[in-house]
Amino acid sequence: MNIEVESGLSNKKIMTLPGSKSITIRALFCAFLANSTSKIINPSICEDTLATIKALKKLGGQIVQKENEIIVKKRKIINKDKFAIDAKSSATLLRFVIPLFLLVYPNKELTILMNDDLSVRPLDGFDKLVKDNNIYFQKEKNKLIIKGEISSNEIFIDGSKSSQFISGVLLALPIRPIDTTLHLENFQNSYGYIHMTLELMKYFNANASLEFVKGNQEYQGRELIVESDYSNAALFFAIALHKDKTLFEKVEINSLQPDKIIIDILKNAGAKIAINNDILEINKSELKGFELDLNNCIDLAPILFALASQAKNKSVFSGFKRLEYKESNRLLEMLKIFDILQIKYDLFEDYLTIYPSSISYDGLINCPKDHRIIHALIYLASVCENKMELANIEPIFKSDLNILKNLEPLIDIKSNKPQILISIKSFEDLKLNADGYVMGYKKFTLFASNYFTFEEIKRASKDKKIFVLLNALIHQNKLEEFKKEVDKLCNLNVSFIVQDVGALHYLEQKISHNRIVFNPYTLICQQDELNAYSLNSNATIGISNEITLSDTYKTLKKGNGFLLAFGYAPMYQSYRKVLSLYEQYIMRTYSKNNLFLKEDTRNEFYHVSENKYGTVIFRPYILSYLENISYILNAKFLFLDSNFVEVNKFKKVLDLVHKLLLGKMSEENAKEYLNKLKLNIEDGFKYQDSIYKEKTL
Amino acid sequence: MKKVELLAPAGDLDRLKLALIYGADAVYIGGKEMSLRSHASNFTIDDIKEGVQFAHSLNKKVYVTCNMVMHNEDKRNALTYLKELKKCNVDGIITSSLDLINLNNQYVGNEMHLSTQLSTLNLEAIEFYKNYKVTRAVLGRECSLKEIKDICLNTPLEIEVFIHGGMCSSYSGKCMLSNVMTLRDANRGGCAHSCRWKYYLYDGVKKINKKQEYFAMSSKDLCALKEIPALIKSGVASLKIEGRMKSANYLCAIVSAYRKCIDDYYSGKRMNYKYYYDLMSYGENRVTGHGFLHGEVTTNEQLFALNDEFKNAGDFIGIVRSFDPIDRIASVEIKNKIISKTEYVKLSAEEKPKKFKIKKMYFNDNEVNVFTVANKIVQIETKETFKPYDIIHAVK
Repeated sequence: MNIEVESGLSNKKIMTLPGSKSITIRALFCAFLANSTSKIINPSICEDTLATIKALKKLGGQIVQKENEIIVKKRKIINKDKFAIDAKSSATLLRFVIPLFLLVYPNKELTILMNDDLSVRPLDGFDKLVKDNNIYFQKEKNKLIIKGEISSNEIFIDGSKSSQFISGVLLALPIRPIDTTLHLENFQNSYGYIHMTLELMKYFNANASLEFVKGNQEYQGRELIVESDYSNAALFFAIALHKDKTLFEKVEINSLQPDKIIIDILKNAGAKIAINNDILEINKSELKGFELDLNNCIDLAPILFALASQAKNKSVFSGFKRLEYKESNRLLEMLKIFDILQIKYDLFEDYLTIYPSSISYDGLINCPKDHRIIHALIYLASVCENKMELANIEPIFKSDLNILKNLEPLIDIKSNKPQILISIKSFEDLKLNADGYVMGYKKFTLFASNYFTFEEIKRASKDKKIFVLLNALIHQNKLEEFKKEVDKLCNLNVSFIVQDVGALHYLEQKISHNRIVFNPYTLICQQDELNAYSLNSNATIGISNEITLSDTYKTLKKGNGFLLAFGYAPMYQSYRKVLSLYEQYIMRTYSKNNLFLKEDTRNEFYHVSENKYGTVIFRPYILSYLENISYILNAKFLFLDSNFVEVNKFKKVLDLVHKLLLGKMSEENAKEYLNKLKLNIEDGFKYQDSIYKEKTL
Repeated sequence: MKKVELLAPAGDLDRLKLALIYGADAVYIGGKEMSLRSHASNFTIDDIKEGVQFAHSLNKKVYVTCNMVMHNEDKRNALTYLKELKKCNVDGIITSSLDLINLNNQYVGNEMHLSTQLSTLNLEAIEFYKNYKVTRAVLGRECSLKEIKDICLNTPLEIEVFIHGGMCSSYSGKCMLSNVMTLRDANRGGCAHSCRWKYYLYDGVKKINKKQEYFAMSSKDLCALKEIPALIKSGVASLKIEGRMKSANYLCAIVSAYRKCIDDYYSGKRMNYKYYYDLMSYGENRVTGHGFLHGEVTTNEQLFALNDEFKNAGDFIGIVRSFDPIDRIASVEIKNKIISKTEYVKLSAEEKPKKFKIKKMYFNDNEVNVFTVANKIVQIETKETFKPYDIIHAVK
């Protein structure tokens, strides 16, 4: 998914921030362990909490999610030997569930599936626990299998890479039949999160300290109103610094969330922030810069780095060593972004200096898989002088599924989604899920998946959006006949895709430009060419498949482009009926249904077709942009051409496109998926431009 | 009625002058930027300036092709280049880019012509392009005489049509064979002529071709000598010869033939096609046909046996650079083997082809009998009178 971010209108805004993810997940674990019903109000609705709910249900949790609350009843004990859950990308879930499972289901087996990004994050905080208790702990790619029980009275946990190992153990230990002595190491930097865990446990009637946890305790069901999330709030606060006045309601000033510190950090840097009861007011302020050790607020580092670039003076940060163990190597990713946006910085030993820099980047940025970095990018996009586009933003839903909606009062976000057109071979194909259906016509169609009569097009257009493909070039002696056919078709509720500029000109006088796509195949290779056509035509303009991916992105940027996104692209269109002429030459006839050409010295086979409008030779491979979907989301129409593609495979490709557009599949997985379909896909000119600048003599 | 323009190609300044001397009313050339034909020896700005001055001194014209289909990176110098061309006083720019036309109209003001790369085939298309203030359209080579006439009669735009030379097998600008097969983009001047290669045709997995029956899609060259009167009557503004990469000898032969043909038509003389064809035969022609001028092509216009090699290659002996009327010695820039005491043909702009014999031949003041080093100057002594740009050709 791509979004375009622009600074929105300012003035007074009142906003409510969504609930804290950290508190919601901890509360879910406490409620799961409780012996009576709990109600969690204003929970964080995000991918991580949804994954947690799903996982706890698999372990016997009786959890019902309502609109703004989650009800958790006393859990059932499930009597089976093997369990499986999917932690997706949630490190919290992964690290919390391990000690819990070992205590709730001793000596049963648990398989934890996980996404790629989670599978590389450390689990060694549990090393000593696993070793001391002889626990089966098998880590494979995207999978962890555990089995065993915690029998030792003493538990050693290393919190140097994450405090979540400690929180996970603390949450589980009260239900042990015996007391536990704890030996916790290297947790000081993230003590805030451990404190939050202990306080929530206390709220659910379970007590623990950092040295000792009494056994045989019972968690009790509670009603909890989750306070607003300070981790996400940092992004909102940062943007609000550039607006006249923004009010945030229901902000818990005495929050246990460590990221609450953002308020003090901003205030110290010169932000005008006022607090009245539970309302936080942020006024437009220019920050003077930061001088900050990040050890106590490491998760805020990306947004603070971004803010530093917009401060009046330079900022100096230290204490950011742990950034490399996060969802991504956050330091590296931020510096990469700074390079792209030309934000000036110096990295010297343990100090990062960031200088004030104006941002005028005009283009696409591919987001790393890290929601905190994307938060920083959204902030930077909101202060960018030009329209910055962010691609692959899905990881932000990890911490808030509604974040784009929640940001709406502060900034304008345009989320681009092109319409999908498919070419149909039969009426059966009209059942496929697409925004429009491309039909060849018996007249003036040079090539298509199939050719339909007027009556058939009429019938199809009754309940589907039909695009009639009239891609023959129109010769002067056929112009009147063409006009008659078009006049007839214009009376139907159909749109047109034409190749001839004369056809475009005629249609524009007849019907609204919304119904016209002009696709000259090879001619539109740069954005200004498309714009030049737009000067005298408001039709959607088809762009060339002979340009690089980055040029494709740039050319589609204006938003009124049409692109063949999947299919066999033509590489030769001629008025000559070369197949028929060859028949005459060799004085033998042949069927023209399934013909291929092969060049003497090459191995590829080229589909070739002919009708009374001429001959077309196609590229020897399918060109696909689906694995690069983020580059083409500015297109108005993406055309998937079924011509020469097996029906079943085409259907799978279409499903894939919808998944990609909904953010349900990543581009990498799409590539793998397409490979598995064995579709004869090649990259064409996506990554290599033609060699044409021959030396002049 | 305005006399039709005979428009010839020129690969460099020398051929520009030659084409104009042999009777072209205008030439079209490519600059170093944005021009197709990456192998043609394209003109520098100084060359263009000189060429335009030369043409204007003869009351003739120079058009510059900027007909590459530009990608983002090709656009960088576009505006500067258009301004430089304006300063050179060029008479028009031939382009397939509406972006370039807009840039020009907004900031520069050169006269703009639509390239044949746009495959303009009908009046509606011309109406569309009229909005961009172009003054001339080069029609697609698929137009028939009847269609050309129909278009000319119904548009105020000047219409230019091809009358001679290579034909794309595809619609111009719609061919990616070379690009896909060799990474050489025909729309940016890299055409590898993949349409002329040998192909096999398969029905599914079954090969249709028998031995030596290579499938070919390529076209014979166009020769519209016999159609010249009809084209003139249609109201065509310009008759265009293809081939910016062709030799001086080819230009001399083809331009002379069409010049004579056009002049005879206007002067009301009986058309002497035999003579025009004879003049033309001094050029390195491929086999020719009449293209689409009489409607859809038949097997006669297609090249099937791949017999597309040039005729007479090697017969272009040299080009006269100067002549000393006292010693009767001509300095000749050599293109192919020349032998003393041998008979050759002189081709010139004003006269019919004329045989002559070399009495003596010198290179660096030494007498030589045979000379084979291309592009060197030799002196030949003959009874014949020469002037610069006369062509020395082998006897047919």
